[in-house]
Order: sequence, then structure tokens, then C-alpha cells
Amino acid sequence: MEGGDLKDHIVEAIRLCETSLPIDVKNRLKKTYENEDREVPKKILGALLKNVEIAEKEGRPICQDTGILTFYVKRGEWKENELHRIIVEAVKEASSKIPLRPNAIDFPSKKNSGNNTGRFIPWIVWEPGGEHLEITIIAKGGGSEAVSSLRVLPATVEEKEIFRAVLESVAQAGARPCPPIILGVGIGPSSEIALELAKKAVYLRPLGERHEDSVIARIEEELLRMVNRLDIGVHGFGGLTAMDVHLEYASIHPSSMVVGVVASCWALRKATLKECGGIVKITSHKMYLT
Amino acid sequence: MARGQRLRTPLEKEEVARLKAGDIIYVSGEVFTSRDRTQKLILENRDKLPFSPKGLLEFHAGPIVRREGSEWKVVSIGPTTSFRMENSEYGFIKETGIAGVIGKGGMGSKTREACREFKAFYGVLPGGAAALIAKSVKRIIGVYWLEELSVPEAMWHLEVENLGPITVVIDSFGNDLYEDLRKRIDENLSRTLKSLGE
Repeated sequence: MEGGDLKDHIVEAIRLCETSLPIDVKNRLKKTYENEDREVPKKILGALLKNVEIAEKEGRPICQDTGILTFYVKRGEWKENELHRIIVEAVKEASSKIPLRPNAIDFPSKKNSGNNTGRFIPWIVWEPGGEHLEITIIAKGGGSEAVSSLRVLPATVEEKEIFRAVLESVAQAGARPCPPIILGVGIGPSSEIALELAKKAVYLRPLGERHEDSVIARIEEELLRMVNRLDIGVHGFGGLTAMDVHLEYASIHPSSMVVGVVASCWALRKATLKECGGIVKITSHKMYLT
Repeated sequence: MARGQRLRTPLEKEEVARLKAGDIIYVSGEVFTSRDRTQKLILENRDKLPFSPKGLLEFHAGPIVRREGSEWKVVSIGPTTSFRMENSEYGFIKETGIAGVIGKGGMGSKTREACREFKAFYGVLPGGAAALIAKSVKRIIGVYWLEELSVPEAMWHLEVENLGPITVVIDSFGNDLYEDLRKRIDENLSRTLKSLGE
């Protein structure tokens, strides 16, 4: 495949990411609406579903905050430098074509670049492995950052301190992150590992899927049940607080265990593009581009 | 609680005084976007603006727009987190005489005080429902400080038709749904933490 063709496919993947929900997220949101029986939350959830329908049909971004874009890349046969250049070009083109809101602001000068690119932005994470090219694009808005937190705990603390860290993060954010959220918890030996795992836990695992380790799967179930006892709900007027909780972990250090918490708003936006033998597929949306 | 009242800006004080926390309303007429750095510029230049913000609604939002010929069109628009404006909102309501503020996530005690003192209200739109909300924007009347602040933060003066559903969170008597909510979440939190064996 030529670089120009790949750029076009990435622009298309960004368009799908911003104007429609991945299949698992859409299904979960519909289920949340069906399960809600209180009048006001049901009315607001109904408006959210209507919004998704209009966005998809008319090609409008679901949320005006089209976020900062992150790319998780398994590069296959491609060269890193070349892919980097193609991704940046694709972001610039998508910003004017879809269009996206220009969100990348240079920190010292406070100037908006106008095309969602800038210093280290889009954020590109090079993942190991993968014979074939696989790119997961994530659009994360500003509001959902209200939940983000980091807690450095002694390695020997009881499990309940993990629960406390998560519950307090969600409670203090209240209605600000646009619930019902999708919550990611990362546990690791250091702060950046914990937060990176928390973000991957939110975005790289399909909703409804449990961790392969049965102990972690049980913690996920309990966290989901407890977070939903906060009863924050859409708009904060009561109802479901989290649609799912995923936990990912790395080995911890003998002295410290760091708990990172990251969330997505209800409109979890991502798209995964896979290329294999000239066939390009957006697996998150079950669509073929070639 | 009233469901689905329809109002048209500019709003009179008596109309605002009839709104109660928990009401769901739909608004037509003129509103303008303002957030973060916009408020200060509006206050500094309000004598030069070709329209008066009095009786209109301030919309905490940063839209996505598209240029079509000589005109701007709104592609997606929705509320941004209002609490960032809490420190400046009292002065803004006082100086401009706006009838209310729309955003998401809630405001604090200073805005509550301003709503009571100057007869204004604070309401929320569904966060992230930007394609739906864009359908209620009839046209962009004007844009200010686009060069300086860029698209998200510029002041967009809009004509809207049935903008909503807006839930009234703070009314002009100082009632605040989110203050009650904060207490409820805190109670739920301490009860849940207790169940962990505190």
C-alpha cells in the first residue's frame, strides 16, 4: 500500500471515530437507556441516543469536544518515521475535512495551531509486536479528565484502599465527566505505568469483557457494583454512574503500589484500523475500507 | 416541576423568576457562547458590541464550525464544564445583566449568589449531545475575537430555535439541584466506604 492511500484510510478512521460510536459502546448505551426507569434520566439518555443517530447519519462529530487524538500503533512492515509523518498529515486533513474542533494549543504562546497538531500532539504510542499494521485511534475530550487521579500506596495495603481510591475519584468528579462513564483502573510500580495502564484499560478492551485473571475479574465486578452505588447518573441527577470498569496491572514494587484512575465520558470514541494483505478493516465498527 | 416550557430571549426578570430548579425548558431567540478567556474580553468591550447581552443567555460552549462561502455554519455544539467560570461568573452576570447561563456540570456558591441577587438562572444541556444541539442553531449572527481566541473560545452570537432540553439547576431564589446532589453523593460514598469495613 502507498503512503497516500494509508493517509486516506486514517482520515476515514478518524471520521468514524468522531462521528459514530464503536459497536460495543453503542449497544451498552442502548441497554442503559432500556434499563433506566426514572423519568428525567431516561429523557436525557434518550437525547444522547438521538444525538448518536444524528451524528452518524449526518457525519457530524458526536461531541463538539473532538478531543486530543492518541494513536496506539503496531507498525507491521512500516517504518516509524514514515508512519509518524502519515499520521500527522491525516490529522491535519481530518481536522479541516470532517471538520474537527481545533484543540491543540501551544503552551508558552497560547496559540491554537488550528489543525490539532503541535508539540508531541497527536500523541503516538508505538506498541511492540504485530506482523501487520494495526492503529487504534482515541479521541478524548477535556471533561472526562475530571476523574483522573493517581494514588501512591504502600505495597502492603489491603484491597479496600484500591476501592477507596477509585470511589473517591469518581465521587469528587460528580457530573463533570458526563456519566455514565467507562472507568479504567491501572495498578503498577510507578505513576506513569499506572496511568498508562488505566487509559489502556478504558480504551483497548471491549465493554463487557472481563480480565482473563479471575481475581482481577472479581475486583472489576465489585468495583462496578460499588461505583454504581454512588448513584450519580447522567447529568448527576441519579442513575447509572459507570457502564463498565476495567482494571489492568503490571507487577508492583516491594515498597509501592500506584493506583491510576482514568475515565471516558459516555461517548467513548475510538476506531481500530487493521491492514492485512491489502485489506483494510475498521474492526471497532465492523467495516471494510477496501 | 414544569416540563417543556418554551421561552424566547431576551427574557424579562419576571419570566426568570417563574423558573424553578428542576424545570426542563426550551429556549428560542439569541444566545452567545463564552468561556474561559472570552468573558474578560466581553466585559472590556461591551460598549463596542453591536448587541446588548442584557436578557440573553450565556452559553458555556466551544463549537465546531464550517465556513460555507461568506457564512459560518455550526457543525456540532454542546456545553463545556461550567465550573471553570465560577470565579468570574458573579461579576459577569452583574455587569452584563444576562438572564441566565447554560453549560454542564454545575456552578458554585458565587454563581448561586449572583442568580439570587440579579435574578438569573443556571441550566444544563446534555453533555456530549453536540450533533442534536447543533440542529437547534438557526444561524450564526456574528463572531468576535476569532483571530485572538480561535474557534473554541471565540464569542459566537447565535440565533437558536428550541435549544434544549435545558434543565434548570440554579433558580433565581438560589435553589441548587447540584448542591443537593453533592450531599447525596457524599452520603452514598461514605455508606459504600463503610461497607468495605471502615
